[in-house]
Amino acid sequence: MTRLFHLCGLCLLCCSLLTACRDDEYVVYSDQQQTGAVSADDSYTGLYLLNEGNMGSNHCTLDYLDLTSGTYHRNIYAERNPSSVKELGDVGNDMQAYGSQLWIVVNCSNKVEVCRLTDAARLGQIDIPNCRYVTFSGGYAYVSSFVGPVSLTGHAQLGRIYQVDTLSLQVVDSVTVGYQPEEMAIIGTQLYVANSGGYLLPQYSRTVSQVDLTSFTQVRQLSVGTNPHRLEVDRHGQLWVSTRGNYRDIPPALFCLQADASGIYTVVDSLPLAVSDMQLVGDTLWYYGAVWNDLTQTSTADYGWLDVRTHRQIETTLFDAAEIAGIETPYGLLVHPTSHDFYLMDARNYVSSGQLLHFQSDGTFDWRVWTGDIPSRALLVRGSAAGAVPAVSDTVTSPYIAAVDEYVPAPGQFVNVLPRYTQGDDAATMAARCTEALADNAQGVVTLGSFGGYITFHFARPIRNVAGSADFAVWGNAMAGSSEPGIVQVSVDANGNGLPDDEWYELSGSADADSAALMRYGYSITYSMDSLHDVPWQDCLGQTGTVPRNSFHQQEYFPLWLPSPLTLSGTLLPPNGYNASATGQHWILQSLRYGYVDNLPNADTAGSSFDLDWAVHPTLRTPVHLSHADFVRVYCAQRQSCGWLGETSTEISGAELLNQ
Amino acid sequence: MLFTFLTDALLIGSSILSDTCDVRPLNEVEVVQEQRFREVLSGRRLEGADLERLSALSVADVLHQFAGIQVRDYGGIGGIKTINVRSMGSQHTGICYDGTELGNAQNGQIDLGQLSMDNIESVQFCPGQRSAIFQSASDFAHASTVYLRTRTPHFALGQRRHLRFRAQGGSSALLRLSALWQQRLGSRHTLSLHVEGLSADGRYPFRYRRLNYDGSVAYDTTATRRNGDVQSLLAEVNVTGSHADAFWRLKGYTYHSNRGIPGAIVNNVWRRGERQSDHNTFFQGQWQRDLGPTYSMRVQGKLACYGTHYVNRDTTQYMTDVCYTQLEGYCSTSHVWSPLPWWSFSLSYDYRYNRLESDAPLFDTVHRHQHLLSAATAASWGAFRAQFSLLQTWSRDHHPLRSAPLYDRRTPALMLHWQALDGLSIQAFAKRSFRLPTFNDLYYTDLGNALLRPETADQYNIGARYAGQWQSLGRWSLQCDLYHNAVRDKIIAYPKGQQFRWTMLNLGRVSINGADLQLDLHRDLPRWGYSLSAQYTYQQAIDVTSAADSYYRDQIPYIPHHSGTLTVTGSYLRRWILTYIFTYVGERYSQQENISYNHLQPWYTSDVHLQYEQGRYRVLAEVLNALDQQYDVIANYPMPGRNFRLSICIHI
Repeated sequence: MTRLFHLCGLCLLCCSLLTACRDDEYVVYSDQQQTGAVSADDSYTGLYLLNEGNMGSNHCTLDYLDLTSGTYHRNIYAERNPSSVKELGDVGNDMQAYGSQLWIVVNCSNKVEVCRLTDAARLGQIDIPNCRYVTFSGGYAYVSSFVGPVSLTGHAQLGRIYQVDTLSLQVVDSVTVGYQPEEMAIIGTQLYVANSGGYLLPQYSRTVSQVDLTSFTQVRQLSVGTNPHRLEVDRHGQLWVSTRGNYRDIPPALFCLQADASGIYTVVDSLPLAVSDMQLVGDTLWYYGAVWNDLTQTSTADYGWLDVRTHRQIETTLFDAAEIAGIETPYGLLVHPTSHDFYLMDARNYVSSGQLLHFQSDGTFDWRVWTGDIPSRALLVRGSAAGAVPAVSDTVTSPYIAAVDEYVPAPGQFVNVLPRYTQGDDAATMAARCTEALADNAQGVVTLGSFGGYITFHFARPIRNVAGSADFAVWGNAMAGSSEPGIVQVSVDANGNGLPDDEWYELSGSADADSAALMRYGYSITYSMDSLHDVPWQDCLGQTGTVPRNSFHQQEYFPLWLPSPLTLSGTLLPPNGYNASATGQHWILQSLRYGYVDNLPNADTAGSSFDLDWAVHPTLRTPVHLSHADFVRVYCAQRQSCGWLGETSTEISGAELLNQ
Repeated sequence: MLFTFLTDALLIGSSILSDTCDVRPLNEVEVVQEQRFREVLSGRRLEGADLERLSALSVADVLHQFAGIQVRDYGGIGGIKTINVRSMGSQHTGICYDGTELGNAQNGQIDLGQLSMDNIESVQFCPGQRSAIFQSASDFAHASTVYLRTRTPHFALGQRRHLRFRAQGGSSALLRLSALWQQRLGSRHTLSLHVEGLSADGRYPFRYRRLNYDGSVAYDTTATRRNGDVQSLLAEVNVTGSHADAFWRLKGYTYHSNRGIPGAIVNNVWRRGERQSDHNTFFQGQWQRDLGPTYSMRVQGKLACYGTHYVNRDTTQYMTDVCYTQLEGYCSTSHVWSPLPWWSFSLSYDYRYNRLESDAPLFDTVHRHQHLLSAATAASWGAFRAQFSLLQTWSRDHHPLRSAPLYDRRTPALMLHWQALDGLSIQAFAKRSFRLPTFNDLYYTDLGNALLRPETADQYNIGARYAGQWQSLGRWSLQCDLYHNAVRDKIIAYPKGQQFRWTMLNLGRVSINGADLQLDLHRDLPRWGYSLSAQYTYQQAIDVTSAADSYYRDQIPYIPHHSGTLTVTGSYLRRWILTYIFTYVGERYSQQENISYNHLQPWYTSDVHLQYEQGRYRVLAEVLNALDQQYDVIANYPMPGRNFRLSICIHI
């Protein structure tokens, strides 16, 4: 029997050794490759590249090339949006920029993902089944989708164009077009979409649908070649439509359509070119085509230029580089619109990393990097800083204050009480007491004393600057008529040491506009301790005064763990308190419109919320763009005493991340 | 012998249950025949109690127990399950059901999830080939073969009939009912009928969870697997007859199922709408006869019809409604002649006909005629045994539009066995085999490539086996195999350059080095007994197609370096049996490149079975994946967490 137990023990030991092998699953972070090349001019700061990924693999990924540093970041979506369940999705089919938004059409995830263009942070998604391409006009996105009403003849399904509001990210309307609509182009108020009929195998469709955007109805279908795919409009108003043929006896072609006298587009020319994708640069149409020959079981690739005025191919040696000939599966093309250097994408065998190749404007090979699976769509962007943003550890952990870093109150009637000072406390222990009172929504109260007294804290994760919405709220104890406004500053941990010792930016509140003439920027004040007496002060303007004691609070008003004299600085708001009683004392502390702590009641969430977009230089007052912030500081911005109420001091009772 | 006893007792009759003596099953005639033409290499066989205690639902669950086999499981009761032996690819493995191969000329994949274990008596796994000399030419054809044998009726003296009913229920609304009727017909014939119905809704919770590097949760989602329901019905009838020098068997088999295809779980897609129904029916028979002491012959035949109806009504996808029908005809004749007691020679010829038709657009009916001729010789000199075989394959397809290829290949195999010491044997084999391109590879609409060559596999294996007795611990055996395989002209899907348009190409070389280890230990005492079986597989299977590939010399997809199982059984009073099964599969990659994006964590499950037996009744309770591990065998196909089963079995 004992042997049996020994044996079982041995087995369990073996099992436990093996079981040590499975780790938790972590968010997969990006990797970096150095291209060694930095774009010379240039207004473009970055390039996004979308990788399709194979069906069912959920390997649609987003890469970013930082053109300021030459660093290629592979697979950035997951680290920018770690809480996005199962990442970007399955089969990315199209990607476009619109305003400050990056739109990604994820075909087999049945959704359009909308991200912030600057850093690929997720803004939202629109569920559109079997969506294919996106284009924009007048604040609306138009998304082609294979899913429409099932026709009576068999199970063939017509497609649709969905109209999406780019602000609310809601589907507004949809219109039925032809079979399996692919790429779209908009001329004025008319949208054209290529109906491929890819599911109608072997017939395919031969039409382009014209949709009037004002009435949002399909006006007519234009007849082109078999299996239309891509659409492009040149600056002469010509519509270029590529068709893929049936991969058998009908070859691919490129059609040119022009408007007739009545404005209806008809085919005026067809060129025997295989065009897998095209881009217009001036009057030159750049294209590449990959053609499969069923008989020889081989594929050939073709690259070229077409003059859209003459409809003739332009002789060029631009595509003669050996690296172009070595591309296994050409899958994408992007030309810099002004400098004419260009990028080609190689999907290789579809199921492993592809490549992005860069060529100079004379066709000289420059560099190549590994991309995700099936690189298909690239986009040059301006003002993006996607490469610079740190890997944000976005979590669903507490949105409340994680810890207080500093607590430096100015003298005041609640100082040394909220929170309580005991003999031997120092700056660190007092900060810890504040953490106790405020962290994780503990809902305690901490006083900041008179003008300049401040507290610095951070959340469990950086505050992301979510476009178009408030990013965090700071709670106080304001009531109507009892506003003690404090100003919010933020900083980015630029030196990465985890300490709030970097440059501070102020979040500009309403008084900057409403009371512009009365604001004092760069104000400072020095308090000196006079044990158990009114606390005297002197400011940078030479004025003097005291923080008066009152009978309600008998403890020392000067923070006992801080050295005296104590100099504090910031922006001084004009006084907001007045005595409303002619005879006695009825003090009213008026609230400001927005942008201050302890200014409006906590119930007014918007009134307690702050947006990183408000960031300005603290004295120059020039706007600063922050993609995120790591630390928040709140200081009391009033230097007034209101009779028996005593000095006006900002109180803080917590803070919370919003919309993150 | 305790475990053999337990199952055999069920077959022989309860009257013997009180008897504690060692009861061996009556050998069926086929086995006797095999004894005469002994296999050179033994392969590995699970049968009787060893098989019973796994209480597997499908054949796929059992194959985890063999070293060198990786099971691909798409999850749940209805999910597709295929095997990959020694990293050569599932199409290199043959599955034989009562001596005749199960075929799928369309895609070469046999879904083992559709093969019920309820009526299986023995599962034998033969790497290389089964080295019995008296076998059909098809038995020499594959790179490895799994042999499944259904229960053969055994009757105690005077017993004419045996009935068994089993009911099983479990998680995912599993309900399985089966009945087995075995009848003696006269003194020389038996009849058995097995009927089984299975229903499950296939739902189970699964969870995807990711952490940030600071340990905080990035996301943590639990959902229910849907569209994995399955309803199936199977009936099988066997009639056998034996005479002094002859044996015959007729089988009729019909299987009907309707199931959902649960599909991949990807961002924003949590359920899918594809469905598939299968209607497979076949009849097979074999007859063998000894003509004098030196010559035996066997004739086999099979007629099969496999129907698959695939429907996708998911409006977000390409909606389809397609039927595929495969017809198969097979006949085989085998002859063995033993001029001397230590030397024998065999000649076999097989003819197989396959036809695939479909109502899919642009689909043309294809036919395949295949002729296989094998010659083999086996000899034994004292402690040495050897077998050499040569197989000639001709295969010709007929396609109305394309010029179909003709394949003409000869493939040899050599197997050696040396009983070096008492208990210690050394064995080795070398074999070349190939798999024909499937109909899908060759002719599938827009994908097939009629210019394909067969995919070739070369195998070299050397192994040793030691069996002994430890006085205190019991009987034990240890087997170790080292092997090198090379796969050339691998048939892979290759892009045509436009979106999701593929073709098939002979492009791919894989080099495989592996080691299989198998340890077994048994001990029986009057009141207690235990057994332990452990297997471990090491495989290095690297892609050596081209140094220019980003995945050159990377481990091929879904092949772990390390994998193994451990099965421990303890019994008390021969009534209570507790079994613990631990399955481990190490880290793998879902795609060719061994990079973090494709990385899959190791997984390991613990299954616990408790069985109680009393007289005619047996009750079995199982906890599967007891530690509730959340894992994917195939990326994006979540597997069930902890689940339960309970079954009751009655013998009359």
